[in-house]
Amino acid sequence: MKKYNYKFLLRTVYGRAYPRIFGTIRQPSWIFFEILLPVLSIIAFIYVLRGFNAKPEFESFAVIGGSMMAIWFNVVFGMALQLRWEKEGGNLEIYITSPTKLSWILLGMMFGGGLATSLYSISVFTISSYLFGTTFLWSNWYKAIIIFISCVVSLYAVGMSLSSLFLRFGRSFEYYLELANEPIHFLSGSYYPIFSVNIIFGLFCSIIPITLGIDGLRQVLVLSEYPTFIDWKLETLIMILYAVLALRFAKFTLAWMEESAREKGTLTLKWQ
Amino acid sequence: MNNAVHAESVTRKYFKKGKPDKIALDNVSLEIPKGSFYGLLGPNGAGKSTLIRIFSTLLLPSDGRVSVLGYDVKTQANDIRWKISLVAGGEMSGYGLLTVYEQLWMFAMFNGLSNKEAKESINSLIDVVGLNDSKDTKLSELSTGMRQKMNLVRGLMSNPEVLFLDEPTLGLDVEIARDVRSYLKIWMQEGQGNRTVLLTTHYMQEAEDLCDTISIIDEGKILHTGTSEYLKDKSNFDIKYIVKFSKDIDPNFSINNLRIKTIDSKTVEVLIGNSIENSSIFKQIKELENVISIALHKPNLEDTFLALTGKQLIEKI
Amino acid sequence: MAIKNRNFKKGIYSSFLIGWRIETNWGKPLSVLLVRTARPISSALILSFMYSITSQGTQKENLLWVLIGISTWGFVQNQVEFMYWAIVSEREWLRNIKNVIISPTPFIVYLTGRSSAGLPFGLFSFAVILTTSNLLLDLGIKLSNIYFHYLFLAIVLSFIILFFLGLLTAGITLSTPKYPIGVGEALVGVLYLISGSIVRPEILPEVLQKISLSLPLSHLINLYRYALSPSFRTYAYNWIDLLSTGLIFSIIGYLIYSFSFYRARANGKIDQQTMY
Repeated sequence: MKKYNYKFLLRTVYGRAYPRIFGTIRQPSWIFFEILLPVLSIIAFIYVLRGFNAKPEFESFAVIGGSMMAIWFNVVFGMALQLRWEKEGGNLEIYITSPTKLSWILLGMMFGGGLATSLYSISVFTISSYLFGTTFLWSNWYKAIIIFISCVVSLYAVGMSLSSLFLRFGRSFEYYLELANEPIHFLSGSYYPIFSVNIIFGLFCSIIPITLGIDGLRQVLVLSEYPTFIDWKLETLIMILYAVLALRFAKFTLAWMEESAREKGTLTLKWQ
Repeated sequence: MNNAVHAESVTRKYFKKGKPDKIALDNVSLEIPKGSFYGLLGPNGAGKSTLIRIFSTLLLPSDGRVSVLGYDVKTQANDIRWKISLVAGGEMSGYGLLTVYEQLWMFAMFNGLSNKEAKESINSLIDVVGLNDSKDTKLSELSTGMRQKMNLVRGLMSNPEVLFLDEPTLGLDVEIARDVRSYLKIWMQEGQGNRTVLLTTHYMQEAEDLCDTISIIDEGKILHTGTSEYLKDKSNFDIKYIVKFSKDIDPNFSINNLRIKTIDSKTVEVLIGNSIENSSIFKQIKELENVISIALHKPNLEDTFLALTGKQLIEKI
Repeated sequence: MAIKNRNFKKGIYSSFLIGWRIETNWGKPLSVLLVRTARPISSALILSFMYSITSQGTQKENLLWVLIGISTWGFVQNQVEFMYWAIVSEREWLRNIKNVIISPTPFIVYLTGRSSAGLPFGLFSFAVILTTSNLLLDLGIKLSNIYFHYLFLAIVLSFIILFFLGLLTAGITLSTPKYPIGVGEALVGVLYLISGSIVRPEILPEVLQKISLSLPLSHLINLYRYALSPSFRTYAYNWIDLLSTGLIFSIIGYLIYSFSFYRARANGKIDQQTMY
C-alpha cells in the first residue's frame, strides 16, 4: 500500500489545482467576468463618493476595498460551495472513494483558486487605479505584498473550513452562507474606513480576515488622516493565525463531517 | 482471508424527521470470494446500489458488519480506498473543459500514481477500450458511450483489487455495452485470480454472460445465491419447445402425455420439465402435421427471476 | 389553439411554482426572504455609512436619491437572477433542461414563470429597505406624499422591462459557460453603474451619460423617485422617455434571446456541461 507522504500530497494538490487554472485559461471570457465586473463595482462606488463630495483618499480606499472583495467572492463561491457542486456533478463520490484525503483536494482548489483570484485582484487594482489616477505609497510595496498574501491564504483557509460544513448541512447551508456573505461587503469596510465608524464596531468587524487585510493595505498604501486601531503588523499576524487555525479546523471538521454524511447517507444524495 | 467482501446481517435504514422512513437493506449477508466475478441482480429499488455504496465506503450500514479485503468499512475506510474502485453507470463526473487524458490524469493523481505511472496506465487502457482518438477531446464533447469508457478507464487505472461496478452499461448502446463486457472479461483473466468484481445490474444477459456467482436481491433482501445454472434449476422453470403450425390447431390438440400450453391459434408450448433428455419428444413433435418450426427454449435469468420472486426483472410499462 | 392556451397557463403556473419551490424548499419562508433581501440591505448600509463619514449628514436629499435607487435594485436582482439561474441550474445541476425545452410549453413561457417567482422577493426587499432606512435615517418619506398610482405603474412596468432584461441574459447564458458570477449578475453589475440607481448620470463621463439616458431602467428608477418623494417632482414626469426606451429595449432583448437560443441549438450548447 502506498503511503500518505509529501509526494502524494503534492500530486493531489497539483492534480486538483490543474482544472482550476487551466479551466479558467481555456475560457478567455473570464477576463470580463472576473476583472471588469469588480472594476465596474469600484467605478460605481467612486462616483457615489464623488456625489457625496468625499475627499480624494476615499477613492484610494475604494480601489483597495473593491480589489480585495473580488477575492472574498471567489472564496465563498469557489471554495466554500465547491463541495456542493462536486456532489451535484458526481465528482464527490469519486474523491471520497479514492485514497487521497479530501483536505488535500481542497488544498489543491485553494492553491489553484488562490493563484487565479490573486491575479484578478491585482488586475482589478491596477486598472481601477489607472482609470482614476489614485495615488498610493509605492515605497511600501513589500509590506503590501506580505499583507496581501496573508489575507489570501487566511481567506482560503476559512473557505476550506466552511466547505466541510456543507457536507453535513447540505443545501440550506448554501443559503445561510449567502446570507452571511452579503453583510461582509458592509462589515469589511470595503468602501469606507472601518474604524472611522466606531472603534468597537471596527474591532467587531476585525473578526473577519478580509477586514484586517483591507485595513492593513490602506494603512501601508494610503496617506490618510482617518484613524486606524490595529497596526498592520499585528493585523498580518492575526491573519496568519487565522490561516493556521482554519486549516486545523478544516482537517478536523472534514473528517467529522464526512463520517456524519456517510451515516446519514447524504454524500451521494443530490439536490439536497 | 479468502473473501474479498464479507457482509454479515447488514441493514440500512433511512430516517425522516427522526422516524424510520425506509429500509433499503434488511439483514443482508453475503460473501464474495477473491478472484470471482460476482453479480447482484435485482429490479430498480432492490437495494443493489445501496449495498455497493456500503462496500465502497460511501455509506455506513445501520447495523451489521461489513469488511472489504479484511478491512472494516466503518473504521478502516482509508485502507479500503487504496484497493478499490467504483464505476457507476450514467456517471457524468469530471470537468467539461478538461480533455479525456487530463481528466484521467487528475484522477490518477488522487490515486497516488506518479506522472510516469499515470501516463503508462492511461495510455495502455485508452488504447484497449478504443479511446485513443478521443484522448484530446474535451469531456463536454464526448458521447455517452465514450464517457462511460472513460469512466471505466478511470476505475481500472489504479489496478484495484476489488472493482465495484454499479450498472456500468446503463444507457449504452448494444455495441458499446458489449465492448465494455468483453474488456471486463479480459481484465479479469489478466488478473489471474487477484482481481474481484462485484457487478450490479438488472440486465439478465449481462449477469449470465459475466458472473460466476449471482445473488438475487429484491426489497432489500438477498433471496437466492448461486451460479446462473443453479438458479435456473432452482426455479423449476420448464424447458419447453415452442411449436408453430401453418394452420390453426384443433382446440383438443394433445401429444401423448406431454403438457401443452396454447399460445395462439397456430402456436403451442410443449413443456418438458427440467430435463433436457428430449430427443424422443422432439421426434414426436417433428412427426406432427403442418409443423413449420420447433424452437427449444431454456429458461433465462429473467424467467428465473420471475419464477423465484413472482416479479418481472424489468418492469413492463 | 385550445391546447396551446392550456399549455401557456399551465406552463406559467407550473414554472412559477418550480421557481418558488426551488428557492424556498431549503428553509422557512422568513429565512428565505431575509437571504434574498440581504444584498440590497447590505448595499444600503454601505452607502449610508459612506454618506455619514464623508458628508457628515449634510446631503440628505442625495442620500434619499441613492437609497430609493438601492431599494428598487431588489427587483432587478431577483427577477433577472431567477431567469438566469433557471438555465444554469437546469443545465449544470438538475440536468433537466433538455426535458423542459422539448416539452410542448415554449421555453420562453417557462422562463417567464421562473422569473415571476422573483417578484415577491423584490417587493419584500423594496418595502424593507425603504421602511427601515426612512425610519432610521429620517429620510422624510411620508405616506401622504406618495403617489400610489405612479408607484403601482412603476412596479408593473418593472416586471415587464426586467422580464426582457432577464430574457437577454438568459439568451447569452445559453451560449456561455457557467461562471461563479454569471452573465446575469455581470449585466446587473454594469447596469448598477450606469442606470442611475446609485450614481447620478451627470457625474458620469459623457458617453456613459448618453447610454444611461437611453436605458429604460434609468427612467424607471426615476419614476420610483417621482412616486415616493416630492423632492423629485420639480418637473412633470416624462413618460415618453420611459415608454420609448422600454419598447426598444424589449424588442432588442427579445431578439437577442431568440438569436442566442437559435445559436445555442445550432451549436449543440443547450445542454452543455461546463463546470470546472
